[in-house]
Amino acid sequence: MNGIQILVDRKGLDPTAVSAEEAIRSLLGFGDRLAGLRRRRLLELCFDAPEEEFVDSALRYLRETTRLWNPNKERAWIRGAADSFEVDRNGARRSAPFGQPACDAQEWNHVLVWSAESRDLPADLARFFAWETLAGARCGELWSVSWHPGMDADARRRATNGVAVVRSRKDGLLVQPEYQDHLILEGGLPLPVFCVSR
Amino acid sequence: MWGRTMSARVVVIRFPGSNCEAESVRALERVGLTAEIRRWNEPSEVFERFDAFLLPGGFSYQDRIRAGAIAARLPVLDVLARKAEQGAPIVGLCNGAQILVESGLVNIEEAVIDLALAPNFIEGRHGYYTRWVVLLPGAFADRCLFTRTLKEPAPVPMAHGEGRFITRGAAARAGFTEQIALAYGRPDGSAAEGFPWIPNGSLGGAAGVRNRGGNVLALMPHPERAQVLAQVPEDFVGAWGERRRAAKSARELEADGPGLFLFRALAAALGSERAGLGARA
Repeated sequence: MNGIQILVDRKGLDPTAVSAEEAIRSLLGFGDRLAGLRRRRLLELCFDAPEEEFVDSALRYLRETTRLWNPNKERAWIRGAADSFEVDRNGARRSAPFGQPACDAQEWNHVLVWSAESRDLPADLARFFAWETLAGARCGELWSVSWHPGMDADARRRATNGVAVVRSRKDGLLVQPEYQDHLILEGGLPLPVFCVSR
Repeated sequence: MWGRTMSARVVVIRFPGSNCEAESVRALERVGLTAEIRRWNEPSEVFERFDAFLLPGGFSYQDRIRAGAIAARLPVLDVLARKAEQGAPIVGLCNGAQILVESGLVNIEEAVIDLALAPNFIEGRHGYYTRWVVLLPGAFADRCLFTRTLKEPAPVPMAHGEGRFITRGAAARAGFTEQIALAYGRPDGSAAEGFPWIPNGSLGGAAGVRNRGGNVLALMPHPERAQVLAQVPEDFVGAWGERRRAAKSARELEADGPGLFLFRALAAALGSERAGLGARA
């Protein structure tokens, strides 16, 4: 099964990520062990069709609708098996990417969060994609965490677990397990990662 | 009657983004309590001087990550956790309720966070929603110091986007019903069965949930916005609507409103039941 991911983040500072980073450092006690935190919206589509067709549909979707993103203040990337690129505000491939989403970087850990009750899909998705070839679709929030370079993989894993699922006031932050599901990933973001049947 | 409560002091804790402090203070003072607004980051010894605690409504930290998630982890909540164990009355209204639930001060099983306030579930729409609702005492309302005196349906407004009580654990669900202190109902006092009288899909129609000790209440609607009769909509059905329509003079309109029951219960508890607070239900 093929898949593409559309990732959206803020062009400038992301206030939610800033607050989460500060909360992890000072309220959960991680301090300088946390090197960085990024937050992106992730829409994943899985399909039984050539990837190129879905990439073209995704470009048209980003060009013609602002349900998933606001191009005035957000950036969007399309990530596929064959190619990954940034999309400009006109919905065209951007020849000089603004920045890399760190999805392939081995040193980042990721916490992918999504609603356990709904797929949270933009309401206009069906207009732009060949629904009959769509095998699955889901929207979620991708938190990407980088830790102090002196921490080994085990330490990074434990730390990522420590900021993910809420267990107590001082343990966990990003995932509320009573109504959210999640995946904790390390060493790159798989493609596809969390598509389910539509 | 309220003279002996004049020395009881309630702190209204202001978080970054709180916006209901002033009316909460007015409601507390209306029932004869001494109320004071203090900031979340004042030294912990400041909060030691108070007899009860109110976390007001608003949008602390802009609801970043989830409503109440960041405020729930502030050091002042460590103080409140200790006070809760000691039996002090603590009430969170709307965002204050979200903070209490995120912090685990209102939960079902001992020492775990097993309850959440999820985004509203309303067929055909999502997000923020506001309307007047009706609060009924839950089946075990007598086990909560804030609700044991409520005898009639109380119309109050709700205004939130993440107000749906939810828990996934089977054991937690089994215990949840007992801890519903206030349920959404209909103006005639009958149970509500769905939207719009249950405005957000809350589990068990829960509007307010207590802790196991009965001294901490997380309540999503806004009783402080129904503290005087004039605040009740003129076209509201039921007894309170009739009282509202019958009131003509400024003095009549200034009469106590339906939301005041919670604050009166707090005043009564502080005035006469100190020894009994915090007993396990």
